[in-house]
Amino acid sequence: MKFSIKPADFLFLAISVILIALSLAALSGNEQGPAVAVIKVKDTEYIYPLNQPRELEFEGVLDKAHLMIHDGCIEFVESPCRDKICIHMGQARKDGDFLACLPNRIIVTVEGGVHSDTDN
Amino acid sequence: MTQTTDKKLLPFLAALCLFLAAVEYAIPKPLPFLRLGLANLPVIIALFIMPTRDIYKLILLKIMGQALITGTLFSYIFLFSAAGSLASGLTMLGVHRILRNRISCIGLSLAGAAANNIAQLIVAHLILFGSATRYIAPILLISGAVTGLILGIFTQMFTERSKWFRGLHA
Repeated sequence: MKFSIKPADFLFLAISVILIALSLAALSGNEQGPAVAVIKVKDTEYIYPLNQPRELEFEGVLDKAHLMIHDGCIEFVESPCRDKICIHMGQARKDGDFLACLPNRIIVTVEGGVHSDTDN
Repeated sequence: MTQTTDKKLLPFLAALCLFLAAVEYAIPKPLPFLRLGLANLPVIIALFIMPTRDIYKLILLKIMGQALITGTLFSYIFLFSAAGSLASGLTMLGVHRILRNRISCIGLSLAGAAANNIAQLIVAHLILFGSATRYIAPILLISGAVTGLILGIFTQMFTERSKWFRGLHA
Protein backbone atom coordinates (compact mmCIF):
# COMPACT_ATOMS: atom_id res chain seq x y z
CA MET A 1 0.00 0.00 0.00
CA LYS A 2 2.74 2.46 -0.89
CA PHE A 3 2.24 5.71 -2.71
CA SER A 4 4.37 8.80 -3.18
CA ILE A 5 3.60 12.24 -1.80
CA LYS A 6 4.80 15.45 -3.42
CA PRO A 7 5.69 18.69 -1.60
CA ALA A 8 2.72 20.67 -2.93
CA ASP A 9 0.34 18.07 -1.46
CA PHE A 10 1.09 19.45 1.98
CA LEU A 11 0.26 22.95 0.77
CA PHE A 12 -3.29 21.87 -0.06
CA LEU A 13 -3.56 19.82 3.10
CA ALA A 14 -2.66 22.98 5.01
CA ILE A 15 -5.17 25.03 3.01
CA SER A 16 -7.89 22.48 3.82
CA VAL A 17 -7.07 22.63 7.53
CA ILE A 18 -7.02 26.45 7.49
CA LEU A 19 -10.43 26.52 5.78
CA ILE A 20 -11.85 24.21 8.44
CA ALA A 21 -10.36 26.37 11.21
CA LEU A 22 -11.83 29.51 9.64
CA SER A 23 -15.27 27.93 9.34
CA LEU A 24 -15.14 26.90 12.99
CA ALA A 25 -14.02 30.40 13.99
CA ALA A 26 -16.95 31.90 12.07
CA LEU A 27 -19.23 29.62 14.05
CA SER A 28 -18.14 30.64 17.53
CA GLY A 29 -17.58 34.38 17.23
CA ASN A 30 -19.69 37.20 15.83
CA GLU A 31 -23.17 36.27 16.93
CA GLN A 32 -25.60 38.26 14.89
CA GLY A 33 -28.56 40.24 16.16
CA PRO A 34 -28.99 42.00 19.48
CA ALA A 35 -28.40 40.35 22.82
CA VAL A 36 -31.49 38.82 24.37
CA ALA A 37 -32.44 38.05 27.93
CA VAL A 38 -33.70 34.51 28.47
CA ILE A 39 -35.83 34.58 31.58
CA LYS A 40 -36.77 31.30 33.15
CA VAL A 41 -39.69 31.54 35.54
CA LYS A 42 -40.48 28.27 37.25
CA ASP A 43 -40.54 26.06 34.14
CA THR A 44 -41.38 28.63 31.48
CA GLU A 45 -38.92 30.56 29.36
CA TYR A 46 -39.42 34.12 28.14
CA ILE A 47 -37.11 35.88 25.72
CA TYR A 48 -36.78 39.66 25.39
CA PRO A 49 -34.29 41.71 23.35
CA LEU A 50 -32.07 43.98 25.42
CA ASN A 51 -32.17 46.86 22.96
CA GLN A 52 -35.76 47.85 23.79
CA PRO A 53 -36.52 49.31 27.24
CA ARG A 54 -39.21 47.35 29.03
CA GLU A 55 -40.63 46.72 32.46
CA LEU A 56 -41.38 43.13 33.29
CA GLU A 57 -43.36 41.45 36.01
CA PHE A 58 -43.18 37.73 36.67
CA GLU A 59 -45.10 35.58 39.11
CA GLY A 60 -42.48 33.38 40.77
CA VAL A 61 -43.06 30.68 43.37
CA LEU A 62 -43.11 33.31 46.17
CA ASP A 63 -44.75 36.32 44.63
CA LYS A 64 -44.40 38.91 41.85
CA ALA A 65 -40.90 40.08 40.89
CA HIS A 66 -40.14 43.24 38.90
CA LEU A 67 -37.39 43.35 36.32
CA MET A 68 -36.34 46.17 34.03
CA ILE A 69 -34.66 46.21 30.67
CA HIS A 70 -32.96 49.53 29.93
CA ASP A 71 -29.78 50.79 28.25
CA GLY A 72 -29.00 47.35 26.87
CA CYS A 73 -29.08 45.54 30.20
CA ILE A 74 -31.53 43.78 32.47
CA GLU A 75 -31.80 43.91 36.26
CA PHE A 76 -34.03 42.91 39.14
CA VAL A 77 -35.81 45.96 40.59
CA GLU A 78 -38.10 44.38 43.13
CA SER A 79 -38.25 40.87 44.47
CA PRO A 80 -40.28 39.21 47.21
CA CYS A 81 -37.32 37.07 48.31
CA ARG A 82 -35.67 37.48 51.72
CA ASP A 83 -32.05 38.29 50.98
CA LYS A 84 -32.48 40.33 47.74
CA ILE A 85 -29.35 38.71 46.30
CA CYS A 86 -30.91 38.96 42.86
CA ILE A 87 -31.21 42.75 43.14
CA HIS A 88 -27.64 43.04 44.42
CA MET A 89 -26.36 41.08 41.44
CA GLY A 90 -26.94 44.27 39.49
CA GLN A 91 -27.12 44.42 35.72
CA ALA A 92 -26.60 41.69 33.14
CA ARG A 93 -25.72 42.85 29.61
CA LYS A 94 -23.14 40.59 27.96
CA ASP A 95 -23.44 37.10 26.51
CA GLY A 96 -23.12 34.68 29.41
CA ASP A 97 -24.10 37.16 32.15
CA PHE A 98 -26.80 35.85 34.44
CA LEU A 99 -29.04 36.85 37.33
CA ALA A 100 -30.81 34.44 39.60
CA CYS A 101 -33.41 34.56 42.30
CA LEU A 102 -33.43 31.04 43.62
CA PRO A 103 -36.11 31.46 46.32
CA ASN A 104 -38.52 32.81 43.73
CA ARG A 105 -37.18 30.50 40.99
CA ILE A 106 -36.45 33.16 38.38
CA ILE A 107 -33.25 32.80 36.38
CA VAL A 108 -32.07 35.29 33.76
CA THR A 109 -29.29 34.64 31.25
CA VAL A 110 -28.09 36.92 28.47
CA GLU A 111 -27.39 35.31 25.12
CA GLY A 112 -25.87 36.55 21.87
CA GLY A 113 -24.67 39.98 20.84
CA VAL A 114 -21.10 39.33 21.97
CA HIS A 115 -19.67 42.35 20.18
CA SER A 116 -22.70 44.59 20.27
CA ASP A 117 -22.41 45.68 23.88
CA THR A 118 -20.08 48.56 23.04
CA ASP A 119 -22.35 50.31 20.59
CA ASN A 120 -25.66 50.51 22.37
CA MET B 1 3.17 16.32 -23.12
CA THR B 2 2.26 13.61 -25.51
CA GLN B 3 -0.52 14.24 -27.95
CA THR B 4 -3.10 11.77 -26.76
CA THR B 5 -5.46 12.00 -29.68
CA ASP B 6 -7.19 8.82 -28.65
CA LYS B 7 -10.79 9.57 -29.56
CA LYS B 8 -12.03 6.89 -27.19
CA LEU B 9 -10.45 8.41 -24.10
CA LEU B 10 -12.93 11.24 -23.53
CA PRO B 11 -16.07 9.10 -23.87
CA PHE B 12 -14.43 6.40 -21.76
CA LEU B 13 -13.62 8.76 -18.88
CA ALA B 14 -17.03 10.45 -19.18
CA ALA B 15 -18.68 7.03 -18.98
CA LEU B 16 -16.54 6.26 -15.94
CA CYS B 17 -17.85 9.46 -14.33
CA LEU B 18 -21.39 8.30 -15.05
CA PHE B 19 -20.73 4.85 -13.61
CA LEU B 20 -19.09 6.20 -10.46
CA ALA B 21 -21.93 8.71 -10.03
CA ALA B 22 -24.31 5.73 -10.11
CA VAL B 23 -22.19 3.89 -7.52
CA GLU B 24 -22.14 6.97 -5.36
CA TYR B 25 -25.91 7.39 -5.74
CA ALA B 26 -26.39 3.87 -4.40
CA ILE B 27 -24.45 4.60 -1.21
CA PRO B 28 -26.66 5.93 1.59
CA LYS B 29 -25.76 9.40 2.81
CA PRO B 30 -26.36 10.74 6.31
CA LEU B 31 -26.96 14.23 4.86
CA PRO B 32 -27.67 15.11 1.23
CA PHE B 33 -24.54 17.23 0.81
CA LEU B 34 -22.10 14.73 2.33
CA ARG B 35 -20.69 12.94 -0.68
CA LEU B 36 -17.69 10.84 -1.48
CA GLY B 37 -16.93 12.56 -4.76
CA LEU B 38 -16.11 9.30 -6.55
CA ALA B 39 -16.96 10.85 -9.92
CA ASN B 40 -13.97 13.17 -9.54
CA LEU B 41 -11.57 10.27 -10.00
CA PRO B 42 -11.74 10.30 -13.82
CA VAL B 43 -11.23 14.06 -13.83
CA ILE B 44 -8.04 13.74 -11.77
CA ILE B 45 -6.76 11.00 -14.05
CA ALA B 46 -7.64 13.07 -17.11
CA LEU B 47 -5.38 15.91 -15.93
CA PHE B 48 -2.35 13.75 -16.66
CA ILE B 49 -3.41 12.20 -19.95
CA MET B 50 -5.71 14.60 -21.81
CA PRO B 51 -5.30 18.00 -23.46
CA THR B 52 -6.89 20.96 -21.64
CA ARG B 53 -9.68 21.31 -24.19
CA ASP B 54 -10.85 17.75 -23.57
CA ILE B 55 -10.75 18.27 -19.82
CA TYR B 56 -13.26 21.13 -20.13
CA LYS B 57 -15.51 18.79 -22.07
CA LEU B 58 -15.07 16.05 -19.49
CA ILE B 59 -16.06 18.42 -16.66
CA LEU B 60 -19.23 19.43 -18.53
CA LEU B 61 -20.06 15.80 -19.35
CA LYS B 62 -19.53 14.88 -15.72
CA ILE B 63 -21.94 17.59 -14.57
CA MET B 64 -24.61 16.48 -17.05
CA GLY B 65 -24.04 12.79 -16.35
CA GLN B 66 -24.25 13.20 -12.59
CA ALA B 67 -27.43 15.26 -12.90
CA LEU B 68 -29.03 12.59 -15.11
CA ILE B 69 -28.04 9.74 -12.82
CA THR B 70 -29.22 11.43 -9.64
CA GLY B 71 -32.32 12.93 -11.29
CA THR B 72 -31.48 16.46 -10.24
CA LEU B 73 -31.02 18.02 -13.69
CA PHE B 74 -33.85 20.55 -13.41
CA SER B 75 -33.83 21.04 -9.64
CA TYR B 76 -31.97 23.57 -7.54
CA ILE B 77 -29.63 20.79 -6.43
CA PHE B 78 -28.23 20.93 -9.95
CA LEU B 79 -26.91 24.42 -9.19
CA PHE B 80 -24.96 23.02 -6.27
CA SER B 81 -23.45 20.12 -8.15
CA ALA B 82 -22.74 22.20 -11.27
CA ALA B 83 -21.04 24.98 -9.27
CA GLY B 84 -19.09 22.43 -7.24
CA SER B 85 -17.96 20.33 -10.21
CA LEU B 86 -17.02 23.40 -12.24
CA ALA B 87 -15.05 24.96 -9.39
CA SER B 88 -13.26 21.75 -8.44
CA GLY B 89 -12.54 20.77 -12.06
CA LEU B 90 -11.15 24.16 -13.03
CA THR B 91 -9.17 24.45 -9.79
CA MET B 92 -7.59 21.02 -10.23
CA LEU B 93 -6.81 21.87 -13.86
CA GLY B 94 -5.19 25.18 -12.92
CA VAL B 95 -3.24 23.71 -10.02
CA HIS B 96 -2.00 20.81 -12.11
CA ARG B 97 -0.94 23.02 -15.04
CA ILE B 98 0.99 25.32 -12.68
CA LEU B 99 2.64 22.78 -10.38
CA ARG B 100 2.93 19.88 -12.88
CA ASN B 101 4.94 17.10 -11.24
CA ARG B 102 5.45 18.93 -7.96
CA ILE B 103 1.97 17.78 -6.92
CA SER B 104 0.41 14.31 -6.76
CA CYS B 105 -3.21 13.21 -7.04
CA ILE B 106 -3.51 13.71 -3.29
CA GLY B 107 -2.90 17.45 -3.43
CA LEU B 108 -5.04 17.76 -6.55
CA SER B 109 -7.91 15.94 -4.89
CA LEU B 110 -7.67 18.11 -1.77
CA ALA B 111 -7.61 21.27 -3.89
CA GLY B 112 -10.64 20.06 -5.84
CA ALA B 113 -12.54 19.13 -2.69
CA ALA B 114 -11.85 22.53 -1.13
CA ALA B 115 -12.93 24.38 -4.30
CA ASN B 116 -16.04 22.22 -4.58
CA ASN B 117 -17.08 22.95 -1.01
CA ILE B 118 -16.37 26.68 -1.20
CA ALA B 119 -18.45 26.91 -4.39
CA GLN B 120 -21.30 24.97 -2.77
CA LEU B 121 -21.18 27.12 0.35
CA ILE B 122 -21.38 30.26 -1.82
CA VAL B 123 -24.41 28.85 -3.68
CA ALA B 124 -25.97 27.80 -0.36
CA HIS B 125 -25.39 31.29 1.01
CA LEU B 126 -26.96 32.93 -2.04
CA ILE B 127 -30.04 30.80 -2.63
CA LEU B 128 -30.78 28.61 0.37
CA PHE B 129 -29.48 29.32 3.83
CA GLY B 130 -28.17 32.88 3.86
CA SER B 131 -26.11 33.65 6.92
CA ALA B 132 -27.06 30.30 8.49
CA THR B 133 -24.66 28.74 5.96
CA ARG B 134 -21.89 29.07 8.52
CA TYR B 135 -23.52 26.33 10.57
CA ILE B 136 -23.07 23.76 7.81
CA ALA B 137 -19.67 25.08 6.66
CA PRO B 138 -17.46 23.18 9.14
CA ILE B 139 -19.13 19.81 8.61
CA LEU B 140 -19.02 20.24 4.84
CA LEU B 141 -15.36 21.30 4.83
CA ILE B 142 -14.25 18.58 7.26
CA SER B 143 -16.04 15.78 5.43
CA GLY B 144 -14.86 17.20 2.10
CA ALA B 145 -11.23 17.24 3.23
CA VAL B 146 -11.47 13.66 4.55
CA THR B 147 -13.15 12.23 1.45
CA GLY B 148 -10.89 14.33 -0.78
CA LEU B 149 -7.84 12.93 0.98
CA ILE B 150 -9.05 9.33 0.72
CA LEU B 151 -9.98 9.70 -2.95
CA GLY B 152 -6.63 11.39 -3.63
CA ILE B 153 -4.66 8.57 -2.02
CA PHE B 154 -6.71 5.98 -3.91
CA THR B 155 -6.20 7.77 -7.22
CA GLN B 156 -2.48 8.16 -6.55
CA MET B 157 -2.14 4.45 -5.85
CA PHE B 158 -4.11 3.68 -8.98
CA THR B 159 -1.95 5.88 -11.20
CA GLU B 160 1.23 4.34 -9.79
CA ARG B 161 0.07 0.77 -10.44
CA SER B 162 -2.05 0.87 -13.55
CA LYS B 163 -0.33 -0.28 -16.73
CA TRP B 164 -3.13 1.28 -18.75
CA PHE B 165 -2.40 4.65 -17.16
CA ARG B 166 1.35 4.30 -17.56
CA GLY B 167 0.87 3.55 -21.24
CA LEU B 168 -1.13 6.74 -21.76
CA HIS B 169 1.02 8.90 -19.51
CA ALA B 170 4.37 7.94 -21.00
